[in-house]
Amino acid sequence: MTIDLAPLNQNLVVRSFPVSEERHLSDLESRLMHLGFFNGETIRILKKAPLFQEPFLVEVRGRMVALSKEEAALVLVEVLA
Amino acid sequence: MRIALIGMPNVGKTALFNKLTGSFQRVANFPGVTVEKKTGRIVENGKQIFEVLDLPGIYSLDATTLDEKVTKDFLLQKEKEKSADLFVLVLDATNLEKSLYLAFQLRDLGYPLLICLNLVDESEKRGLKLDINKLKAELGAEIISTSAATGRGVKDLIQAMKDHLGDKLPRIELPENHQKTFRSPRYVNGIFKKIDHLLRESTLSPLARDSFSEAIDHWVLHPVWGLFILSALLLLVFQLLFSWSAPIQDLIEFFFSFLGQNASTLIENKLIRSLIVDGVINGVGGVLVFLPQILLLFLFIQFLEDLGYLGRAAFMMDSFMRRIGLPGKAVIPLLSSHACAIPGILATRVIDNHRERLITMLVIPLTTCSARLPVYAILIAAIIPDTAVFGLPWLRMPGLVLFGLYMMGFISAIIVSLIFKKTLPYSSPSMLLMELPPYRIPKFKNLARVMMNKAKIFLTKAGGIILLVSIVIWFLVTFPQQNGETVIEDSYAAGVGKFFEPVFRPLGFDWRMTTALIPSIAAREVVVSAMSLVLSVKEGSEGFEDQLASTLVKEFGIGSLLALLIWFVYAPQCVSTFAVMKKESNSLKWPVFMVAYTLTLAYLLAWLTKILFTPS
Ligand SMILES: Nc1nc2c(ncn2[C@@H]2O[C@H](COP(=O)(O)OP(=O)(O)O)[C@@H](O)[C@H]2O)c(=O)[nH]1
Repeated sequence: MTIDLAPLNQNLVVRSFPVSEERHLSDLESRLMHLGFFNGETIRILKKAPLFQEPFLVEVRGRMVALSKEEAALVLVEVLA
Repeated sequence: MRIALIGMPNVGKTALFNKLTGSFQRVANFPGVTVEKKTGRIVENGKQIFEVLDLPGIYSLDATTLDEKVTKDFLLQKEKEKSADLFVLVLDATNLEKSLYLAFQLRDLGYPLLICLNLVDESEKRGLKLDINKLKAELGAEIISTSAATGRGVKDLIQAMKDHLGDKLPRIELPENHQKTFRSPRYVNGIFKKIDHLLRESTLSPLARDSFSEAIDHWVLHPVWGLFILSALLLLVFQLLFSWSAPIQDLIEFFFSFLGQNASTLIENKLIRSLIVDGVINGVGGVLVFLPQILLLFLFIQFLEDLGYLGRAAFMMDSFMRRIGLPGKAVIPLLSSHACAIPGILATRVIDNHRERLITMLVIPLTTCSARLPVYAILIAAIIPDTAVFGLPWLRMPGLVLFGLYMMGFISAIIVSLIFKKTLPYSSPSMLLMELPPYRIPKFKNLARVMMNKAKIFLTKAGGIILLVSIVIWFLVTFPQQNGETVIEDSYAAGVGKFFEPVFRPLGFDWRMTTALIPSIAAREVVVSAMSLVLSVKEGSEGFEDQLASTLVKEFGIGSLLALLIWFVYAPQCVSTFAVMKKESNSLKWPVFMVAYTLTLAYLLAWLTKILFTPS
């Protein structure tokens, strides 16, 4: 699933941007990856903004990052068992 | 020797720059773009030893935004004026997982670096202990611990810079295909692995969580309380701009009318007196009167920014604002523009994306600024009967119309921004994607500095143009004279008015109306006195407003007056707006475009109104 569909306050493992990936990434994807959303990294969704239930507030590599729904939909995650 | 500060956004680069250069600094734009360029000097014994540049924040060499590209140009030393002899890389000690990325990337490419580990006051408070020698060895660079907040380590940093005196940056060749490499997951992942490894090796005691920020965010981002706090703050901005700055503005106005009166009695020559009083003093006064609003607004915005709240506000407003085609951060500029477009346009600096910033700037003139209220008041009094609506005694027609005019401006701004979003050229991706910084206590000195900078930009850049236009308009309405007297019907302004009369005839405006519209180019609020002048209604006389209103109805009819009202909703704002937009967009193209599209809208909609409301 992607971040916009993932449960709140659980440890999630990113499955996007594995090292084997060869395709060209968009500016947005690149920025996501540089912020720490890459394969194997553990993240947590802390909050959804009031009103429209987006953007999302995500903890990744020790920082708080805000993602809009479209941005959140670019990152694949898995719930850590 | 030129030293450039480089680092990710929010590592305290600017704070450090301020500490290093003190008052020896200058803010301008990089040529051709709206990216802010801050240069300063480090002076010792009255002699400059370094020129210091505060480069825009950059996440990595895979530059995606305009700001990042400017910084990247410096690293690549493309042009003479875009180069430096030494880079000081600023790291955030409270977030090394993030900020070490750039350190590894630059080290791997062979850049000689001086590293500044900033925010150590904060990181030590949160219990972080590092093996600095290990870091130094691994990164192959000198590391100085600093705190830009307390000033600790700043002397050491200058000392370390001096050790590099006379150094020249070696020519760095980027690997072939570097664009592709810098963006590939394998490369990025590789650097993150190195960071994790280094941190594991060199951390003696780990950083505690920022429980202070987490506690505040519990309330600030709360579904109910968070929205409540946000609304309260936005209301406060409104109050600040409308009510609290009013007494200071009255004082400034009083001062200038006092000055004008004194000048009147002092200056013998009638023409020079008129130039000084009506042209210069009125012109300068008309500019300075906005200053309190601008200063108060920026005090407030910078306070929220330094506190760390602005990002949170954007986070909460983003989904709503995006639905109307604008980013979350546009809330404050748009709100401010209801007081005056100038602080609104200046406040668009909080929007990082250049395209979205431009769109916000372009639609701001459509919101109803307070200078339009006197015009609305006169016209509404003239044409709208004071009757109750739906039989409700407290709901009166004039109030409803005024509200309608506000909504019209606001809704038009939304529609236009949606259109621009679809049509304007795309430059960089529009993203929310941002870090929320930890909360920090704002420093008074920084607030004062930002306010002074804004005041300076406004007075020097906009002030000159406004003064010039005031004098030109004074000239147009005063000349040619007959026997030393000005006759408005024969003035150049009337000539211009008569020239444009055919264009405006479909709206029902005659030359008197078009002539009265000319001074409103300088400032909206003078149109009332201009109208009274051309219609020969004596200003300041008993029942002046009623008299003007009835003359207007008699001369022009309801249809044309409604058209005039609509004209004022859309027509380009005062020349100050133009001047500030020119400065802030760093181009002549966009303010000209703004004038063109608002004029078109104003003409078409006023014409439509005239057709709809003229009884046949
Ligand atoms: N406590 C503390 N705060 C700092 C320090 N350096 C910067 N700050 C604060 O961190 C925030 C971001 O700093 P700024 O200079 O704007 O970051 P920039 O984006 O890198 O230019 C501001 O509120 C600063 O006052 C520091 O060394 N210690």
